[in-house]
Amino acid sequence: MTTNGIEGELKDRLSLIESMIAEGRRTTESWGWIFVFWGVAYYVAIAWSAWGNHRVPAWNITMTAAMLVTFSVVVWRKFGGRQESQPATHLGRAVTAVWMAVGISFMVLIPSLGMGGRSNSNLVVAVIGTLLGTANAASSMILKWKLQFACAVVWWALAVISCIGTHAQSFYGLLVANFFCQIVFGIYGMIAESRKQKSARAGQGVFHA
Amino acid sequence: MTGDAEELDLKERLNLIETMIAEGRRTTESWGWTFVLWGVAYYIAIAWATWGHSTLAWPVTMIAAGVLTGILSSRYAAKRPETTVGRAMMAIWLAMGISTFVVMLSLGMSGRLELHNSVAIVGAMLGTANATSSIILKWKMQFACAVVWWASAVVGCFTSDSVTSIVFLAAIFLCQIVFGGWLMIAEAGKRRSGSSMLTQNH
Repeated sequence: MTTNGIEGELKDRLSLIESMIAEGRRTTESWGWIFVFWGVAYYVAIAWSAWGNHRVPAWNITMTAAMLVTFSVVVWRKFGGRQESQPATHLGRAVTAVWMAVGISFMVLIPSLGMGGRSNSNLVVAVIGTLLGTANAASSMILKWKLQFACAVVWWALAVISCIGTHAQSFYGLLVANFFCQIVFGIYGMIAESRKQKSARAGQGVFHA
Repeated sequence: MTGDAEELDLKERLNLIETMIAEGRRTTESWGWTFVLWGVAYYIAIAWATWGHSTLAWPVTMIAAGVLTGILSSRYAAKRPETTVGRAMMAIWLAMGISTFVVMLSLGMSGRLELHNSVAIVGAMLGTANATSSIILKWKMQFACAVVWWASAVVGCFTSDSVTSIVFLAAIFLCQIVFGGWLMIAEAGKRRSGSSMLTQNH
């Protein structure tokens, strides 16, 4: 193969990787509502467990409901309603795998700690911070996305605060981390996606004209 | 685009995905030594903490294993080109490593670290990393390792000290030493068959 040929092939590979990263980010942005939804679910569970009827397992009910809603929407998006404009890329699949594995770990670990009598609020918040830190860090490294890595750092900081701090510090830390890394980051993803959709529609309009 | 061209494009994409998955498995196989290294490091830390009664056992062994992995992997990575799946795998294991180190060190420093919580957290973290990798590479054997780690996390929450310890030791043996050893054997076999094909061609 000539030098020009090798250079051309390398350029092709680089542009393929770049397009896969961009597609992966777009996919994450299109799931921005899930970050917001789970952020709200955490707030509902926190408020219910703090001020509601203490005999009702607020966290279990809210998390199970949130999981069922998420699962239903994912199934609907995949098989029924909205079809993805692009087939899933390998990086998109990797990010999905990260979130699936973290979700399963949540479902396994948090109820086991509770039912085994090993949990206290600081430990549960530390586990939430650690698992969400892992998912955000892995996803951000795959997609080379500094903003999402900042979210991972916030979740790790929450895990540290929960381990060494008081009950109140851990509680307020969770409220703040949830606000920035779920609500704000999720809304940012939703806005970015709607902007891209708008510009794509405008582009199509120009093409048709 | 015509139907034939579309079918060809789809076939090409499927081929590319299959090639990438195979490449990813080969990459994981070539990292089999890290599974064994960390399995041995866990055993050293457990033995040191149990019989040496030292609080430094876990942090010192884990930092030493991390440094050793860093040195050996930087030498190894320089010899091979980076692939997309390889990058994703690296991201997953790095994120898991940082998270586990941060939470275990914080728990240890605050005096809140105890056997059951440690096994539950380490089991969940290793379960997450193995599950992610196995879903990406469509690899049932590695998913079985994830299930073993998750099971050890659950057992750690419900059982006595001795049962938790035995289950953790067994999980390390199966998912680090046996799985890592199997990966190393698979890689060595492929390397041998590759070099014998090269000799035949010459």
